[in-house]
Amino acid sequence: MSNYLFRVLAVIYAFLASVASAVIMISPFGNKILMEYIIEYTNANFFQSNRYDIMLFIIGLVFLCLNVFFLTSGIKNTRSSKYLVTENESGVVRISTTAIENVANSLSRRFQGVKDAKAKAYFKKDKVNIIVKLSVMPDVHVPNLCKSIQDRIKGSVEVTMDLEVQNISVSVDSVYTATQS
Amino acid sequence: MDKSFDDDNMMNGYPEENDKEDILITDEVIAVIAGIACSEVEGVASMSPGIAGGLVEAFGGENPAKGVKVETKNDETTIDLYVIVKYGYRIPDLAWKIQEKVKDTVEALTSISVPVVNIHVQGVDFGE
Repeated sequence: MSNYLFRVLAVIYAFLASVASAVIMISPFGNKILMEYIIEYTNANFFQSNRYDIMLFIIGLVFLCLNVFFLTSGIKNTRSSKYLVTENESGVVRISTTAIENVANSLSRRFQGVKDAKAKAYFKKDKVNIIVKLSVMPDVHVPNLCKSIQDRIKGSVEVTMDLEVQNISVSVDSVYTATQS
Repeated sequence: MDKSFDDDNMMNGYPEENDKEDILITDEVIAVIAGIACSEVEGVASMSPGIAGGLVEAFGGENPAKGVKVETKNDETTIDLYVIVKYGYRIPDLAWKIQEKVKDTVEALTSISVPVVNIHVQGVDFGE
């Protein structure tokens, strides 16, 4: 939902910024009549009349809010999702996504028919989600291979790490051919 | 001569050599002990040095307490261990073993009680 809102705001912001930059770009290339008309129109209708004070304030406020929103969206702290924390009597045990990615990568590469594998893990509501991208050999039955890899990773993560696996997505990104070497 | 020196010391209020109050064990010493104890646990592949520790090692420096962070607050010592574990070991069980081993070793060698030992599993090693 927040991702959808972010996209909508980005589209609105990009549209408004495009209009403003187009107007600014027109002025140095001789079309001064249009610029003068815009300046005169805004002077006469907005700045010399109190009727639009609130509207101008709201437009400024909307721009300010969008600026703050985009600025803060870039400095969000996402580190918390890099670990899953469990507690015991002696302290806490934090398992990093890197550890899970190590397991997924190494297990995938051990399958015959897999040329290369790149795994990405993340935690969602204390459950593990893994995305594995594969480069496979041309003579392999892809659905069977993907199923075997999913089962192997799921079993291994659940047994050795005692974590619940929510989803393992396996995507075959490329088929290895001799010319690629 | 010796006697008069001792008498002077006593008169000036110098503490006795074996006075318990004088024993100070730094966090660095605890970190080294904890690091060695952790490495000895079966299933631990290595300690993760982190970015700063990795730079120290890259430039040829020694980092005996790598992957260990010791913090003492209000007479309570907390140890954080950043470990890379061997594949095949069940991590919750291994973490418990590390915690117990580190607590026992640090307490045996320093008489400092360590109530909290946190384990940070940074990676899994397949020995490839």
